[in-house]
Amino acid sequence: MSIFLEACRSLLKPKATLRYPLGGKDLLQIPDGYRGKMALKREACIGCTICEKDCPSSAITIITDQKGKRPVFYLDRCMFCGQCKESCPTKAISFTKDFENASYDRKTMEVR
Amino acid sequence: MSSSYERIFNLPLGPQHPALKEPVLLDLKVEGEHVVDVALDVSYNHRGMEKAAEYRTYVQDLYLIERICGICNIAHTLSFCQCVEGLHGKEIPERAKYLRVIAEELERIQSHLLWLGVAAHEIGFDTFFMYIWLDREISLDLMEEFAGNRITTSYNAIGGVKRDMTPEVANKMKKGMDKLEERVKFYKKVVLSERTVMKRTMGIGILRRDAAIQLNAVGPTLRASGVDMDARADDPYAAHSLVPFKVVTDDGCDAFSRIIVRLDETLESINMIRYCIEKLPPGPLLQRLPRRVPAGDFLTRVEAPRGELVHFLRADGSDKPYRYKVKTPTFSNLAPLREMLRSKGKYVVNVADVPVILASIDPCFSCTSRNEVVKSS
Amino acid sequence: MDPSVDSIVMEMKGIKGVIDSKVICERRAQVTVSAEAYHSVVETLQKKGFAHIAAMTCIDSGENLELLLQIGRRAIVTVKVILPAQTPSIDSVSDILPPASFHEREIHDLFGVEFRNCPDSSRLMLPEEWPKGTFPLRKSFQPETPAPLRGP
Repeated sequence: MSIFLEACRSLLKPKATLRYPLGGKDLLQIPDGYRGKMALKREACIGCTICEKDCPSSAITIITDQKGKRPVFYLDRCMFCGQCKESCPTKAISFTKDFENASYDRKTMEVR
Repeated sequence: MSSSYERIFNLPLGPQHPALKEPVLLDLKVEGEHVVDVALDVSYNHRGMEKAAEYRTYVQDLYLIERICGICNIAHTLSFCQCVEGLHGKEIPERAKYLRVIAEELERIQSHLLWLGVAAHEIGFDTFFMYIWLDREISLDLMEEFAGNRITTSYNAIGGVKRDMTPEVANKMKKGMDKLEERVKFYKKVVLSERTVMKRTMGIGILRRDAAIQLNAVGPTLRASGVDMDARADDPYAAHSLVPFKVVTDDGCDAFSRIIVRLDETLESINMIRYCIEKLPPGPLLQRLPRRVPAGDFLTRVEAPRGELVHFLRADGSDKPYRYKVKTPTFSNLAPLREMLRSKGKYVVNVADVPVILASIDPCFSCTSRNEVVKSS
Repeated sequence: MDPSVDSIVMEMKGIKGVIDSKVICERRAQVTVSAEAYHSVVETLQKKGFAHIAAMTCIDSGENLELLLQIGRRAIVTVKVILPAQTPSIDSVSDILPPASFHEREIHDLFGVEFRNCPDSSRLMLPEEWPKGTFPLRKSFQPETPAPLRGP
């Protein structure tokens, strides 16, 4: 009986779900510290390659650009655990709130 | 058992999701409507975790171990971190211990609510299921604020925890706990008054106290048989020796008392989180530990939402484990499950009750059968 | 209530077949026994209240297999037996501790230890088509992709 009353009360309440994605991205409140797509502060990176060694899913490869060694992140393999951010001695890696990473092309899923 | 049926019939139930969305084969031997015996086959979900752990470094293993179980990921990482910290012989900072308890209890709340919803669905009470899962969102949203993700949280780190709890999150957590307490108390009222729940669970899946002890049941399954065994009290870890709590037991021995035990445990967890937020000591979060772990054996026990979780680590002094062993709560509950599914004397198990009985132990077969290597392409 | 670790370690020292008995840390003890004495030592421990199997672990240490039975509720005693890796065989303890049969079946599947008098020795963990005589958790077994693949 009590659940019946609860169901009647719920008729007067607003919807429990959000109209995502139709209502747009702004509907969702992404909390601070969410682990979305990562970003690299190039000037802080010293090319120590610890992130590559620690990455549990081998989603990081080290390449050499004009400034020296730097990581490239492959989002298709990344599981967003945040270990690279933990391991980075100079705090060059950070996570943004960008969570819409799906793509038809693997090549676009790189963070350089 | 006297019966007019002469023939014993084999009825395979599963492996495609007999109760929860997990593969297990229950090969039932039925006499008419009554189950007389059962053979369990859990070998459908091999992931080779124990072997794979030997090929990865401790830092990488943390995330592998986390993925043994999505729902109880914090309990698994906590055990792993405790094994490594134990071999180093290092204590972690006090604040991290309290934060680990908060994370663990938050996980228990969401796991118990998830289970309660599934149990309601199993007994055909879908309205109840919908409301419970709506309120489970509160705990998941809090987890996201607190740890950065809803399910695979990556919260524990070797030597402490990764993230601090800000005052804003603490405030949100307190408000969320008030809301959850109100809702869980309402659900308890519903369970105690709703005939649908009682008719489908009372006297179903009986596991007597002596059988529960003899067959080594663990977790809420054991506590619903009136045994006050809880790894948090028996073998305190993290800050559990400092946080007061009551080991919830019930003497009903059936599926109904398992619901009551889990609801009461949820209320107990809510109080523990409140206490931890109140008493959270200041200080550092992480004690950095060397990557190479000293040789030795270490066994740790954690009370996961489903029961006692045992992790064992043998290190050989390198940066990779020599052997890693996981004993999950569901594995211990297999023998009691077999006992519950056997009709004996006046106690009869109908085929229609089997999914309810299976769900009542809160099984997690992907955790249980995790030790084979699968070819990846 | 389990008896304390210290007293059980002292008591175990006198029993025949016990090679070593020591306290590891708070609430943990280890008793090393010979394969012949394993069954009787587990029986003695069970009578003293160590009736809850926390875990049963097997470790491949090269020439030998180490079988560790971890029992106890508050304090955990590890009963350690060393078996030859070629012909590992030991008495089953499932007559004393009934749920041990599940743990023994798991170890039988993954390490190939024979448990004498085990009531059920059918496969538990491995699938039906897994080749006989291949034990995936032994060190000699090499998985095809042991670590995650490298590169993009």
